[in-house]
Amino acid sequence: MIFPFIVLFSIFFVVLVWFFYPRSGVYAKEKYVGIDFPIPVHGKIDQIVWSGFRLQVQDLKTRKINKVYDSDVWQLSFYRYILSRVQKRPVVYSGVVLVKVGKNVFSHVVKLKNDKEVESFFFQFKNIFLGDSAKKAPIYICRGCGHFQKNCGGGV
Amino acid sequence: MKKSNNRFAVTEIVKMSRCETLVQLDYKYGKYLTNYANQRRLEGIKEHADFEKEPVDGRCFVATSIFGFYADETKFLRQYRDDVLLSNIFGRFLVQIYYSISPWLIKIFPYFLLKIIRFIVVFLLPFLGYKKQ
Repeated sequence: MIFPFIVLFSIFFVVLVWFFYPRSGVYAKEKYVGIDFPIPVHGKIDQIVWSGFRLQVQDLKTRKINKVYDSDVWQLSFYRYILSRVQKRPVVYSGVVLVKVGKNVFSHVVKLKNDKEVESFFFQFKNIFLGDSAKKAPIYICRGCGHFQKNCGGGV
Repeated sequence: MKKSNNRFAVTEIVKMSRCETLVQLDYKYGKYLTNYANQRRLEGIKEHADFEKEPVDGRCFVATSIFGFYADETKFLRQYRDDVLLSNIFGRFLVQIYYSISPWLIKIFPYFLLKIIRFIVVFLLPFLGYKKQ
């Protein structure tokens, strides 16, 4: 007697879930995420897109030229790293950098770094931040920061 | 150095990929910003605020879901809708029907079916005059 009701209710439930299951679209905007373990990092993701089965991180950059830098890839990789631990949904190993030049927006799909690379980058940062690697010669030297010609040895 | 609950900010960490010395000096002497950098930073904050407020286009449902909001294909299809379809009565009628049923289609269609539609649309786009850049 109860069996048909259970079947009907199950069908109704499945249809309901199927109908309201989020399809592709913008999942969240300007979302704050952060974790303490294995690495203590936090940040604000500009846009998260749900592609149907997986999440993808996107970042907006305002520039004068349409170019994607290495730091953008690292930033998205960190966001992917955090999001994969905060969300239960899978996060795809690619991200989109939206470069806004004037009124035009250009989208660049970039391949993201894996978890091990992200962790090693963070520990490298922490070593430098704590001064452990201060004696080592820097690999990258910029020419346009505020420390230039004051304390920075670069660009001499 | 921005820290919240002993967490490091990602934007500060990724500076290291540009200049490792900058990270050390920021920590040692505090953060220095040139006038130009500060101006660009303020512009970026304004752009981000606009981006957050920017309404997600509720229309062009199928194209947006299969290509993405900022994709060239979606832009082309929007342009085609405005220039070609909306310029005659039959086209306007088609657009009205499309907008009335496409939100439902997106909810009902499974993911693999959208992939098939994407394949068909990509095949048809050159016939409408789309050239991939």
